Amino acid sequence: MSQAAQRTLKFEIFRYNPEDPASKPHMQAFELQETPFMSLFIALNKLREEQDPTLQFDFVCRSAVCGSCGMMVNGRPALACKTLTSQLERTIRLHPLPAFRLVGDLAVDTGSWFRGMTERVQGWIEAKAPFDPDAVEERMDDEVARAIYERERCIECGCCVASCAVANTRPAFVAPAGLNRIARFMMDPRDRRKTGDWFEVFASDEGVFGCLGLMACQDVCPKELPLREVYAYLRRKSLTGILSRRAKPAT
Amino acid sequence: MRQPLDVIDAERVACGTPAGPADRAAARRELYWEILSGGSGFLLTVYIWVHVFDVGSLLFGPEGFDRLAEFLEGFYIAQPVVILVTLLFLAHAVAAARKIPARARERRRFNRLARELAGADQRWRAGEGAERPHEDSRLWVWQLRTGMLILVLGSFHVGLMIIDTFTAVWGERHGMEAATTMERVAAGLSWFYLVLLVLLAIHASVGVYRLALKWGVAAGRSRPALKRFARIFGIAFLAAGIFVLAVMAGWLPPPFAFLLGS
Ligand code: SF4
Ligand code: SF4
Ligand code: FES
Repeated sequence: MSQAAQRTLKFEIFRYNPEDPASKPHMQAFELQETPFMSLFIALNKLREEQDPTLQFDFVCRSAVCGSCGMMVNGRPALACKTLTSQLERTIRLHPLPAFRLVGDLAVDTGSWFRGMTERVQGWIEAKAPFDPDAVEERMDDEVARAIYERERCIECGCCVASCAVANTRPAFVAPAGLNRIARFMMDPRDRRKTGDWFEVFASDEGVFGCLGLMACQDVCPKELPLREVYAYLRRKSLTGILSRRAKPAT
Repeated sequence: MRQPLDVIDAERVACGTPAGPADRAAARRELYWEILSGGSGFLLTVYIWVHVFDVGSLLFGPEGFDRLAEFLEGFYIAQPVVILVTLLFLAHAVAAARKIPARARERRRFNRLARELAGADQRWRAGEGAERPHEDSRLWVWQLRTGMLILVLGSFHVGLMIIDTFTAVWGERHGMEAATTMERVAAGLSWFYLVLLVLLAIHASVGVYRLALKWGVAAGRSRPALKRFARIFGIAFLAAGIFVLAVMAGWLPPPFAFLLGS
């Protein structure tokens, strides 16, 4: 890909520091010379280095793995490190992700939300028996293993939550990433819980039945998780879940 | 430059996660509602297809229509169906309306998000179905709009049919009669029915698409493929419906009338 004609990019960046009483939300304009294969990660770092050291934003892995750089790019949630400026028009508008707590400028606190969600849906394995380090590992069906892996690929970036109309209006909604988390542990054969234990967690109005099924979440997910499969899986599970009993309490 | 107001006055709802106690009974109710709205929608879709065919008896001329009507009424098939469909129609409206964001503030937030998504300046690479403006959301909005109109127009039609079926107000006997119906349609109701047909085609095909999506029917097919199927489905319904309507309004002669010798 030749990038002969380098553009001068115009950035419009949301600025607000909730910690500073004097700070008022506003958009600030920046200009920056585009370089070959420039990602928003590179661009923002350049802006901070060369033009405004107070600019706040998050990055860790800069390779679409850690999930910390989600932001609204021209109104659409995306990972800044995975978005090349060459994919965009000359004017680039950056906002923080909605729904999450604003830390400042483009930085939001997705971590607290994901922790809260995990605790609420109990997104962990409840082992069937105490772990025995000497026993041979139980075999897992290849198809199940793959399905679990597909759910597990979520990097907790929050893009889906930011794009979801329901998550943006109803605080109690477990949101796309939450539904995905539930499905991941529901299908795990190592978990002792039955569909009956999960039923009220996923089948309620705060769960999959709150979802409108418009798939904005799937369309923006930077890891292209098969969220459509997740919701269909949960909906179908609700049909049997209503009859399923809870697992016996652990001994 | 765009003002950042959208972002700041929007409630940052995910700040704290209120962990309401999960309520099994409430979840159960939610499942029943979901089945009611999806199930009634599905049955009504089947019904409108059947309906195009039974009214299609008019293609065999007024006699064909009257014979079928007399048969269905004589064996008391028509009457319960009319009542059942009316109930389904109302149940569907109530169940589906629960999903419309009731509060104006929520609606504003929805619209803002949609505008933002629609305004994204570039073709974005993403999973399947990445398009602007967000197509599935737009389809849903049209499903709501057509649904509300169908509630109004459909109620009128259902009301007419109840009067037709159970009283002798129009025509010579209790029940449907080709003569009354054709007169009514020719007198101007044809436009009303044309609008209703278009609304139903849009509403039902979006509904079928979303139902398949939600419950994982044809899960192996991509969303664009499902949408294509839904579009064909809607167009077929519209074509069949308009054909029957044209005969009813007298724009076309009944093509199979010769079969009954009339
Ligand atoms: S499901 Fe996708 S968009 Fe949502 S948090 Fe996980 S990786 Fe991000
Ligand atoms: S499909 Fe459901 S979870 Fe995904 S964005 Fe739409 S309402 Fe939210
Ligand atoms: S910096 Fe880690 S995902 Fe972008």
